[in-house]
Amino acid sequence: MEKEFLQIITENQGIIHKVCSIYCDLEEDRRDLFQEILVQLWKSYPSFRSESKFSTWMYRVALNTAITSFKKDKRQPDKTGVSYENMQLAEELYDSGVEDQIKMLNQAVSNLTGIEKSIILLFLEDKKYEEIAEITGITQNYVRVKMNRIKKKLKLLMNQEE
Amino acid sequence: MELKDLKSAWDTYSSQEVDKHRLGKENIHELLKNQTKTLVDRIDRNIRIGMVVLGIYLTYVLLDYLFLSAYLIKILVHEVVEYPKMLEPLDVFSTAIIIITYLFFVIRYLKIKKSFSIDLQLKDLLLGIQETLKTYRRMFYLAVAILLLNIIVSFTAGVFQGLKLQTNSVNGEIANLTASKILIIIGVGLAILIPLMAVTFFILRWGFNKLYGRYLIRLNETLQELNESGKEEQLF
Repeated sequence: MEKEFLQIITENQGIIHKVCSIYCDLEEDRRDLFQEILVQLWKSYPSFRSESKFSTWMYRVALNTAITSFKKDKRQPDKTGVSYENMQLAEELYDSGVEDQIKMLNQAVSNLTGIEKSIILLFLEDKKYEEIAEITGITQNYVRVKMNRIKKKLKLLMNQEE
Repeated sequence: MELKDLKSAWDTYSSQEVDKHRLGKENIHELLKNQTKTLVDRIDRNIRIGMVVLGIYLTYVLLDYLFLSAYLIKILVHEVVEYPKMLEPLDVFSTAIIIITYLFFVIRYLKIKKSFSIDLQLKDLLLGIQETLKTYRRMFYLAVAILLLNIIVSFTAGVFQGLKLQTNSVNGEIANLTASKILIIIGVGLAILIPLMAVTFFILRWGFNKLYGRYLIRLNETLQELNESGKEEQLF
């Protein structure tokens, strides 16, 4: 079972990295959260039944872990929501336009609540409302309502920054 | 910036992030081997330790009540020391309360533990963690209450015994002490006991809140946000 688990996680690790990107500002936090999600996936893997898609189950465990993760107040996150590591990455890999957009995205997302972050992540990952509802455990109607609010909130935040 | 720009920025950013942090099977295996304890794991461990400690304490109280105390006094003091009769009901009552609360706590905890899983619906998961934390807090305050009761009983018994030995040494009787002397003894006793209890209680409470207070607030806020979804749902 361990081999099977390692194979499937290696193939789908992108999901965990994306969840970590949206919930963590600092590299150290990101590493901790990655490990925490990995452990939770391993622990609950025996209870995974193929009633839902593997990626749906994986998103649920990863997001649940991120939302309920317990961080001691040992590190102060960067209030701008843009980590030093991300800034460096941006400088290395993107042109200035994309870099600005990423900064803006990080800054805006850091102002969202835990649940809002999970919904916007799934929206950005092109998930349908039905699947977002299945992953987050809230109804499709409320996902729609929440999504509209998040869009407005993000627009407002990004306009303030422009 | 429009939302479609946001999506394309996210696609670029997330794919670069995934590539940058991608791990091999060995690295993932290594991370699993060196797994750290999550909050729920740590609380679970603390609760189990707490259960064992309380279990040992209750066994000690029972043994002490039955024969240990009498045996030790016989060996150490070499004279008959009477346990204050007025403290006996308090002692029995507090021990009974502790045993009942302890059993209630164990049953409740096992029930929560049975239904807890990270792949539950978020609301159920949050309620599960909240219940676990609340149970932990209850156990913590139970331990604090035991400690404080112990301080009161031991202190009062100590003062009473000390007084008795003192008066015996001058061939006197406690009953012969004047009211003003008794008041002074009670006053001094309370002046020591009350601050001692208050400081113990506040330090322990502060420690608990410092560790879990903010986390509980965050859980409550998230739950509130999810509960709003239920209310708004009814409007549609």
